[in-house]
Amino acid sequence: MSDQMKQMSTIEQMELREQVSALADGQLGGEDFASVIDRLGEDEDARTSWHLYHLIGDVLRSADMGAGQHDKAFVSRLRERLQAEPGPPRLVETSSLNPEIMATDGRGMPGAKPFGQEIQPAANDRTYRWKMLAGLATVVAVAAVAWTGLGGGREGLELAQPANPERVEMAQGSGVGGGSALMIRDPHLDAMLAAHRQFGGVSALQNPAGFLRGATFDASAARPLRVAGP
Amino acid sequence: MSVSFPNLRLRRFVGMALVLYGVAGIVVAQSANPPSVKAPLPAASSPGDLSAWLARLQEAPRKRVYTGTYVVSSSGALSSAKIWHVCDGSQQMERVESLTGSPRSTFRRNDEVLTFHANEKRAVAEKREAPALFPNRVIPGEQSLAGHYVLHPIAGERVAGHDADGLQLTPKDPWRFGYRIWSERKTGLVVKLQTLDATGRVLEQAAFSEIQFDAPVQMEHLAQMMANTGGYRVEKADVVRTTAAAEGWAIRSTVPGFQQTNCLKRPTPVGQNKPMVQWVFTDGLASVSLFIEPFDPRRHQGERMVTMGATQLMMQRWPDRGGGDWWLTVVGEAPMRTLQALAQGLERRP
Repeated sequence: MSDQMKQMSTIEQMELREQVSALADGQLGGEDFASVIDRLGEDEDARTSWHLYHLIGDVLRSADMGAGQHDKAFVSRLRERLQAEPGPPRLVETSSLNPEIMATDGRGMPGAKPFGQEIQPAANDRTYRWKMLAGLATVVAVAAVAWTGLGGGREGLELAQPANPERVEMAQGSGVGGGSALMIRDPHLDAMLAAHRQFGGVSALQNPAGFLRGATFDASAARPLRVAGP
Repeated sequence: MSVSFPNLRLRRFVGMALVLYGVAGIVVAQSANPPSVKAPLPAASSPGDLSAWLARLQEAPRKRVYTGTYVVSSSGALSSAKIWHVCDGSQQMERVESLTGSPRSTFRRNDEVLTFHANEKRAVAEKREAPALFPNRVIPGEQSLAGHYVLHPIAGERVAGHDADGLQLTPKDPWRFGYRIWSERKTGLVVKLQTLDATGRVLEQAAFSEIQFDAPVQMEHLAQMMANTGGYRVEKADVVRTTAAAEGWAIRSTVPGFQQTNCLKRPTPVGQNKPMVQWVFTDGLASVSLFIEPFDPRRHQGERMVTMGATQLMMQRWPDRGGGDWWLTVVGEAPMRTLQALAQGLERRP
């Protein structure tokens, strides 16, 4: 079928484009409509034309460019990326994994690690805590976890000191927002942040950047990126 | 799809022409503006250059009248505010109207600041400690800035529709953050500011998204609005200026470049007889506040460290050798290690 399409003459192609244009204008009906729809499913050139005509229409009608090019290449790239993603946990026992079934979505190619092993991070994984926090963030319980005391005192502080970019990024990505509620609802702490802004702030850059920053910045909207726990 | 061009081919042709024109326009624009790294100032790390440059930045708003929209991106939150700024040579006034979060209007007349919280019908009055707001005032730590930061030009940018020169302050040691600053080419006004960590990652960013110079802003009008506190409960922060020594505090070892500036005392929620002391340290750009109050097991639970954009915060119980028990909260726009070092250097000398 596609071979026939490739051999299609230029004239035929022009005719098809004309029909696609008419379809885009809502001027086709009945059998013509059905046949062009069929051709659109098979013919790459017809599909490109379809997107192009819509794009042209959008450009003509408004200053905002229309989004086009939702083409096959994009879809296949998206599919590839999705396959590369670790994927959500599945209620499948490792031993019962069927490689052939898994191969259809590209996740369980022969020789690949069994799926179940990849989705269970060790509890001492550096990112584990943030995954756990992210999960809990939807539940109010996050506050209790995020604000667990530093049992080790100064020793604990030392341990938590090295900024781990990966951990911070995890926190950003998973939106650990629940923790801020507890902190910002503490009016005493809020007052201290305000007092620091009043007598500190970025001193030499105070005007205007420092002052404006303080006045503009809404502390209650801020989410602590990294809360060092025990 | 309504057809404004009866002939499909004509319509398509016009459409194609428009698309091609657009593409050509982009290509032309790119070739006309090759990315040029303009060096507005020579690499400066001598004290004179740094001071001169800071003086220019600080002087800019003292002369200008402008309105604009200011945006702060920190810790995953985006805050913005509408700004009115006016000065008449001797006085300067500013109005900051929050566009995000709780509705707040902040007015500043020189060092006097009044913030109206619309929801709570509460107005908070405070005196802003900001020597940089005024000419001929010494900023603590400014003289030694060149010992701790290297100043060098970076590529200029267009910010809020204006050409701006870029400069970077890179810390010479891990005790402070770095900054990228863009100042408007003609006026020197800081239009964009980034705070960077040791790896160069942007922790916080603040910039004008639009700015209009020489806008018609009436100082009398702003003064009237600031004076109109009707319907609001005006609160004045109950702060007393003191010294660390008078409060029985000393610092054994400080962080290189950080000097003590202010020490203040204010009542805690539990009462006047248990005040909280705020002791401020600065290296001229960054500052850290140590808040010390008597330990209260009901209120002080959970030692912790929090990162919010450029602002770091740590809280811990601090027992002194004489049997006293304190709660220490350290807040600052500096790396956590700086906060920790200051906390560890703290000493009780009653």
